[in-house]
Amino acid sequence: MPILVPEHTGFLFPNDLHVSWSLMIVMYPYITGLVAGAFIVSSLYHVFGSERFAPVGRLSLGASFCFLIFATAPLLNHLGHPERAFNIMITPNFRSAMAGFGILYNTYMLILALEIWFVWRQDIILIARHSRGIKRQFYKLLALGVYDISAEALAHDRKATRILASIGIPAACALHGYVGFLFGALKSNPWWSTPLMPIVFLFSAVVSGIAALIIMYMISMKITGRSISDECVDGLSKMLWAFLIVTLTLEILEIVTLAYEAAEEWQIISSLLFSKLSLEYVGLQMMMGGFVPLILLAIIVLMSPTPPIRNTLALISSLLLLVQVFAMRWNVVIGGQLFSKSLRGFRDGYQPSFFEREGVLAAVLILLAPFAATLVFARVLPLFDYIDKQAQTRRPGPGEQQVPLTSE
Amino acid sequence: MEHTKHIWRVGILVIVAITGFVFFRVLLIPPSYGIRGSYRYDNVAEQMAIEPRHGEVRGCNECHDERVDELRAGPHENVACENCHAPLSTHVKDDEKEWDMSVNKTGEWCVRCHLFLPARPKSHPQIDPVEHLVKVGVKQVGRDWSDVVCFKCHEPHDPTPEDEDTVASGIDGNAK
Ligand code: HEC
Ligand code: HEC
Ligand code: HEC
Ligand code: HEC
Repeated sequence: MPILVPEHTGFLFPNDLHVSWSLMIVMYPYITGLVAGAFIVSSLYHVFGSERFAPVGRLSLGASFCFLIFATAPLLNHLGHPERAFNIMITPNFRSAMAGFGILYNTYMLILALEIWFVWRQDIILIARHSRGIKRQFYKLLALGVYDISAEALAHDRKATRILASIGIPAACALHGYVGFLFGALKSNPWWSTPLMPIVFLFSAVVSGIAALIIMYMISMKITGRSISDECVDGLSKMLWAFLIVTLTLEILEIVTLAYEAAEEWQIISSLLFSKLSLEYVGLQMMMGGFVPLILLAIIVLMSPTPPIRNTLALISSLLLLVQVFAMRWNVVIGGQLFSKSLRGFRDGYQPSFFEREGVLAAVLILLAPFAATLVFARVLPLFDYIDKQAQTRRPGPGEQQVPLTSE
Repeated sequence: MEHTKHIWRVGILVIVAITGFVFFRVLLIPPSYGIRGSYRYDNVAEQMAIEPRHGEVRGCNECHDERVDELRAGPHENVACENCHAPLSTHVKDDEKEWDMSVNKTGEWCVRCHLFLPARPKSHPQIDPVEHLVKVGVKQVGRDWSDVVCFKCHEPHDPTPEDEDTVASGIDGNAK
């Protein structure tokens, strides 16, 4: 390993030479954010009954679950001893902010798994009835052996779903707000330590979640040869726009406050944002990822373009917003480590290499894993097949079990 | 309540899962955990029972006193032997030399302590090795110092370069 003459500047404390929270720690709030965002869309349908979101009602739950499964992957990859992660659940120290994650994560996982079960129960039973052999046993097990899809049972399911989804909203907010809290509560770092941090994290999480859903929805419609629901994309775009406005406002307010107060930390933070991270912050987070989608989405909302144009605009803004939120996480996590605690100098820069354990390849694989998992999920529990039918037969009669399976 | 069989089943499943978790958690908590705080108290005794691997500052004195005197006389007087060599336990067993002591002869080793870093106190001798080697007449070696032998000019135990002539003659720092 060649020793490179380092590139730091100014005055540093001896123990703050390196950036030790790597790309993986950027991935962690990013993926957790996608969980929370996707879940909140699903709640709009399941709790508030917005019918326009019915087409993504199931996709959003499934995607949220798959993202949740992989939310810990970057953390485990970052740890030198991943197996010790379980100690935090066996012997948690309740005064440690880190220990909160195990509790929040597991609670949320439980709620989500239950909600998925109630939403898909009817499908599970129908599939079990229409198959034989191992497949039948598997779905029978999933159904917990109860084949009751009478109107009353389904009404109970809907009620349970609604209750779970409404507990799920605060749980999702807590899960992601907590991630923001982890950073916001570090008083040694003026770029992190603001009470606004959890809120900024939460809103940008919702933005990234909606954006990911729009992309996943459009791609799955394309793959499965279905038509894209205009109402749904329209609704998602409007919501995305609204959340983006709040997110950008919060992000800018935070900077404006810092700049106006011009306290001792502003000197280093301003040179961090406008010279060290000018590409990542001004270029990606604010301009390309922030204002461009803001305008594109405003076109959708204000000018109601034709569906093909609207879909293209929505897709482009979603892609840009995924970049925006990633840039935001990067600027917080990496940016916060670039300056010394002295507030008078910059550490070595951080550039992950491609093949290292916490490098770019690992990050890409971890990011793709939830999407692959969603594909697997869709094979086990259909994401779209039953939706149209259910929308029509909100109260399925006793004849429901004769409905043939479209997939067979 | 009719048609709630499935809800009962899933409810029981959840309760079983949670009690199962609590049960296994209780089994997994180490017995002495929490006696004096959020850690396993038995570990204190285990740590105390471990044989020290290092000999500390005076660990080498009894057998290598000339070396020690030599070191004490030069600028490395405050650098303990084990910084550049290896822990005493890899070399001596029951007060007898048992294994050869390793010696790190690469330039990287010296550079670890002498690389110029803004975070280091000004009084500590620091160099930019590339510049340093060019300045003292060694041909350009790039940035990999694993083969550079700094003690061609600096005796590691007393590193102040004594003979200006050696330097002027331009020793090849790459030669072993
Ligand atoms: C700055 C690093 C450094 C420190 C501190 C240091 N040594 Fe060394 N020592 C070396 C190097 C490098 C060599 C190999 C020199 C060579 O091969 O010419 C060496 C060689 C030796 C040798 C082998 C004899 C020889 O000259 O080949 C002995 C014995 C030794 N050291 C003992 C000690 C003892 C005892 C101490 C503590 C009092 C000590 N050293 C501290 C770097 C160090
Ligand atoms: C119990 C006595 C004893 C102690 C304590 C001891 N050494 Fe040695 N060491 C020896 C003997 C004996 C030799 C072989 C002498 C020789 O070949 O000249 C040796 C040789 C060495 C050598 C030369 C390489 C080799 O293994 O032949 C180095 C380097 C060395 N010792 C370093 C150290 C350092 C550093 C310490 C302190 C951490 C230390 N020794 C402590 C007895 C000791
Ligand atoms: C463990 C850290 C450490 C290592 C390894 C180390 N040194 Fe040093 N070195 C020091 C310290 C500490 C001083 C004394 C600084 C002072 O005087 O305040 C010093 C002093 C020196 C000096 C004296 C400079 C002067 O002003 O006279 C030279 C030359 C030197 N070291 C060269 C080397 C070489 C060559 C090596 C590799 C064999 C080496 N050092 C390895 C810590 C180290
Ligand atoms: C060709 C001989 C030569 C080689 C090889 C060499 N040095 Fe030096 N070094 C010198 C001379 C001569 C001086 C004193 C003059 C000076 O300060 O430049 C010196 C001074 C130093 C100083 C003290 C600087 C100060 O500001 O007091 C350090 C530290 C040092 N060398 C480290 C190293 C290290 C580390 C290496 C190996 C990468 C190395 N040297 C290789 C000749 C050499």
